[in-house]
Order: sequence, then structure tokens, then C-alpha cells
Amino acid sequence: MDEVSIELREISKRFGQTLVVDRLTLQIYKGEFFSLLGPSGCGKTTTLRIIAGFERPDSGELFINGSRATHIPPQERDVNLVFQSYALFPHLTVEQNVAFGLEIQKLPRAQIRERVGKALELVRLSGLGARFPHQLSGGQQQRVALARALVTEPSVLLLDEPLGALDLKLRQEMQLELKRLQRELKITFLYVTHDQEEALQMSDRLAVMHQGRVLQVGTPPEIYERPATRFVADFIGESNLLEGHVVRTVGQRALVQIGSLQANVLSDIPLQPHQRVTLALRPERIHLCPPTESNGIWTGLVEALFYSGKETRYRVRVSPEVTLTVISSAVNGISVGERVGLTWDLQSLRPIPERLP
Amino acid sequence: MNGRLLWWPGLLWLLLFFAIPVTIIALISLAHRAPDGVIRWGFTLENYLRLVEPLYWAGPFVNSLLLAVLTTGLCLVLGYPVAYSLARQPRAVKNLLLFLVILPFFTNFLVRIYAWFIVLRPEGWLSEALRALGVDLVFLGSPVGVLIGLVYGYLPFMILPLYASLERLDFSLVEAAHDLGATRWQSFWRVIFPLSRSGVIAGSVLVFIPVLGEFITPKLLGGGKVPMFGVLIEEKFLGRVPDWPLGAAMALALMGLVSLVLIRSFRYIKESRWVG
Ligand SMILES: Nc1ncnc2c1ncn2[C@@H]1O[C@H](COP(=O)(O)OP(=O)(O)O)[C@@H](O)[C@H]1O
Ligand SMILES: [Mg+2]
Repeated sequence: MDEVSIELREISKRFGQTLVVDRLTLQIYKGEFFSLLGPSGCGKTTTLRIIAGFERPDSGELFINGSRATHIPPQERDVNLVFQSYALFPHLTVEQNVAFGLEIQKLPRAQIRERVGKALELVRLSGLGARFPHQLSGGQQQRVALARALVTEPSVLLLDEPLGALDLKLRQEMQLELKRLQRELKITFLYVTHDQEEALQMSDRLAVMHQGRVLQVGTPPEIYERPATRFVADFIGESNLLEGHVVRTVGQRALVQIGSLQANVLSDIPLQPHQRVTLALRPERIHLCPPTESNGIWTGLVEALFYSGKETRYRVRVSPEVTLTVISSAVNGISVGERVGLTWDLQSLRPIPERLP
Repeated sequence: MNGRLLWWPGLLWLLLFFAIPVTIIALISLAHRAPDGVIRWGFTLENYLRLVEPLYWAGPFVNSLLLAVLTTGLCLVLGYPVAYSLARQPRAVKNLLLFLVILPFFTNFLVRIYAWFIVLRPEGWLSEALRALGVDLVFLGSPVGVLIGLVYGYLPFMILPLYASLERLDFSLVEAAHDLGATRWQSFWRVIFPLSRSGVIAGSVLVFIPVLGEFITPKLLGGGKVPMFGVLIEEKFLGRVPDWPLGAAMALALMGLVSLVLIRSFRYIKESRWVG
């Protein structure tokens, strides 16, 4: 996991006045399932197109397998792109679509046939080779696009929201399928998505993008448990964000004042007394208990409650200026207007290292 | 709205401008030739026999066929890059350029051909420029001059359908081809060209068929020295020795041939339904 497959160094790209990619620096390792996660319009597709060679960056350098690729035309790059729209050739059959890259390489007929057969088998489409793309369902078209990109055995596969157009069931099925393919082929996958759950479930590592910039890179637990910015804390899952200031510190511990409330924080970033700080607390890491229980950290009033079967979501006012969202899967008979106690593990309340303006 | 009702304007149009004139021509082709060259109504197949027997029209017909093929080919080669770059422009630029393609239609065809007459005549600037380069080419009264006029006149008919099909082309398909290693040349022949097939066929039909029956351009630029089938037909009606029934038979024979070409072409376009 050390050899670098794709490296972006300070890549920037403008469209007219808008800076779409802003000094993007990333390293993606060989054989890794890496995701670029960010809201729609944050520059993910543009980044992928820069790597594939369809857009020239205005500045910065791109390296593919260790060699500079910034100005190499797309047809000479050892990366294949699975287009968001699939971009299957409508005038070619499934087999001809998959064979396209191999025919360009002028491989012998027999070898092409064999490899196309294998690729179709790999994506479980054997038997549909003679169909045209318009005769396939969305999920099947997706698989053809995958087979076509995989069959030439590129060292990196770029996937642009490949499951975006599929319905939920099919999407979940294809997520597993993609993971299986990636494990079997040991190809580097660079996967673009705006679906944070998908990114967390599938990736070895991911980068969170916002407005053309990478805000944080890490493994899914690192990103989820230790969001580096308010945006990440909010975009990945859900977070209660609490504004406060540091009262005092003892080693790694700090006492933080949030309005009229106080809380202990375990911090891996250095905190100074009087410093302003934002704390993130995941709704599902908060436990509700009877308000009298001595281990309750704060108490509050249940203002609203939403039951959705597998979990219940509470809005709890803990002080005039602070309400917390709590998610609990336990059936506990709490109702609106009740007073409750709230507890959490010390390490669940995280200071966000981002500098406040 | 009743769907059948919508058929009527089309049917009426076909009746007025196709069925009735063709019927008249057919009746003329079955009539006798009067001594003055016009017609004496009747029913005879002799005009068709006269058509097959001496084959004096074979030369002009081959000329027409060759010029139609050449014109279509040249229009395709010249029109394709134009249509392609048109289709790739931003919307506003596209509409402006498209307008420029159509602009010549605002001027009478005869006037435009006369304009070429001025350019192509021996003392015109083109001939002079070529002579200065040591090339002595006679345009007027030669097939080259007629070809230039034909290509000029019919180029828009090639560009417009090509543009229509290239405009619909999803450019990400071309990117996909490059992504899979195709060079520009390969992606053109394997993706762009096949996907514009309906435009190529429609444009070719729109150029080939009228050129096959052309008589104005060869008359003006060919000066009677480039015999073409259309000129022959025209002369049978308006020439010094008119022969309406024979002219009508020739016209119908040409129409039969053209219909065959059309039917084949439409079959091709129908096969390429995935384009749309
Ligand atoms: N060819 C282009 N010309 C102008 N603006 C573009 C172009 N491509 C993308 N953009 C703009 O760049 C921004 C980022 O786009 P994109 O990379 O597609 O984002 P994402 O894939 O994350 O949704 C968007 O605001 C989009 O409108
Ligand atoms: Mg996108």
C-alpha cells in the first residue's frame, strides 16, 4: 500500500471566473479503493476528467504511476473512465462495446474474443453479448460500461458516480459487486460519489471535497470519528455542532463552556484556555437516561420526536441556546415534554481543529 | 384531436404537388407525338420503346450519374468538417453560423450561378490567378465548371442534415473512445461517422437525386458542351425540336430510378434508428 498510483500536486482549474478545482493535492495508492466525496458541483467530475485527460489543469502537476502525465493525451493514459452517463456506443452490441479498447490495441481476434468473454463473465453479463445497449436495463448498461473499462486492464479505474442513476436496491447490489471486482482485480479504483454512506461503506480511504478543495483525507472511521472541519462533520453523517470556549486544560483534557453549560473534552489537538472552539457530537452517540440518574452529563426537555421504525430521533433542549439531536434505536417510551438525562462517551465529543474565522 | 384529421393537409399536398403532376406526365408519356412535337392524346407504349431502342441518351445519363456521384462525394467531404465544427460550437455561435449556411438561399439560384459564371470565365480572376501559377484550366463549358457549380449549389443540402445528426451526437461517446485508446482518426471512423450515418444518407440523397436531374447548372456553366440527362429532358419540352411524350417517358424513367435509390436509403436510415 505504499506505491503511489495517482498523484495530484496543487492542481487548479478554472472555468471562466469560477475556480472549480482549487490547489488539489492527493495521493492515491496502488490497489486502493479511494473515494472522492463531496456535494454536487464541488468539482469531483472535473477532477476526474483532469486525471483522465479530458481537461487541462491551469496549474499543478499530475502523475500517473510515477510519471508526469499532465500533458499526455487521454488515449495514452493508463487509466479508464466509467462515465456517469455510461457513454456506451449505441451502434455497437454489448460485445463490440467491450471489445472496443482491445480492437484499438489491435490484438488478435481470438484473444479479443476470449478476453471479452471473460470480462462479460466478470460482470455477470454472459449471454447478453449480442444485445444493443438500448435493449438493456440501467443496471446492465452499468455493467457493460464497467466491463468495457476493465477489459483493457488499466492500472486505474475512474468511476464517476457510477451508481447514481440506479434505484436503491440495485445500487446496494452493485456496491457489493464493485467491491468484489476491485478485490479480485486488485486495480486502483478512484470512485466519485456524493453519497456519504456509499463512500464510507466502500472505500479504503476517501477525500472529502468542498468548493474545489480537499478538506480531509482518511479512512472512513478517521473521517467519521474525527472530522477536520465543520463541513465534514456536517456532511458526513450528522453532527450536533456546539460553539464554546475553553475554560481550562489539564493535559489532553479540557473543560469547555457552551453557553450556560460545561462539558469535558478529550482533545488530540492542543487547546488553550479562552480559545474559542467548535465541538461535534454525533446524534447516535448520545444516550438518553432518566434525568435523576447521577451519571447524566446534561439534562434537557424533549421538544420533538420522530419515530421511523428502526430508530427514533429526538430534539432535546438542554439550555435556552442549545438543542441537541439524539438518535436512539432503543424503544424507551419517552414522549414529548418529558425531561431526560443525556450521556456520551468522553471521546465522542470532539473538538474540530479547523480555525474559526 | 382526431389523429386522422392531421393526415389531410399532407394528403392534399401530395395530391396537388405530386400525384396530379405525375399523372399528367404519365399520360403525356403514353400519348402520341404530334407533328409540332407536342401531343396527341392516346395510349401507346412507343415512347418507352423509343427510350430503350437507340440509347442515344446513354452518354448524357452516364455524365449525370458521374457528376451526381462526384458532387455528392465532394459535398460530403467538404460539408462534413463544416457540419461537425458547427455542431460543436456554443449555442449562440451555432445559430449564427447556421444562418450563414442558409443565407445563400435568400438569393435566386440563377443569380448565384451567374455569379459563378463571372468567376469562372476565362478572363475571370480565378482563371487568371491559375494562369499566373502556370495552370491553364478551362472552367466554362467543361465538366469541371459544372461540378464546381453543382457542389456550390448543393453543399447546404449536405451540411444541414449532417449538422442535424452531429448535433445530436453525445460527445462523451467520443471521449469514451479516446479514453479506450482511440486516436482522433479511429474515433472518427469508429464512433462519429457511424453515428452520423442517417445524416450522411439524408444529405447524400438530398444532393444526389436533384443533381441527377439537374439542367440549369450544366446549361449555364456547361454552355451546352456538357450533355446531361436533365438537359436532354428539358430540351424535349422546350428545345427547338420538342418531343413531349419522349421527354415525359424519360422523366418517368429517371423518377423510377430515383425511387429505387430512395427506398434503399430509407431502409438504411431505418436500420440506424438507435441514432435518435
Ligand atoms: N465545461 C464547463 N464549463 C463551465 N463550467 C463548468 C464546466 N464543467 C463544470 N463546470 C462547473 O464547475 C463546477 C464543478 O463541476 P463538476 O466538476 O461537474 O462538479 P461535481 O462533479 O462535483 O458535481 C460546477 O459549478 C459546474 O457548473
Ligand atoms: Mg459530477
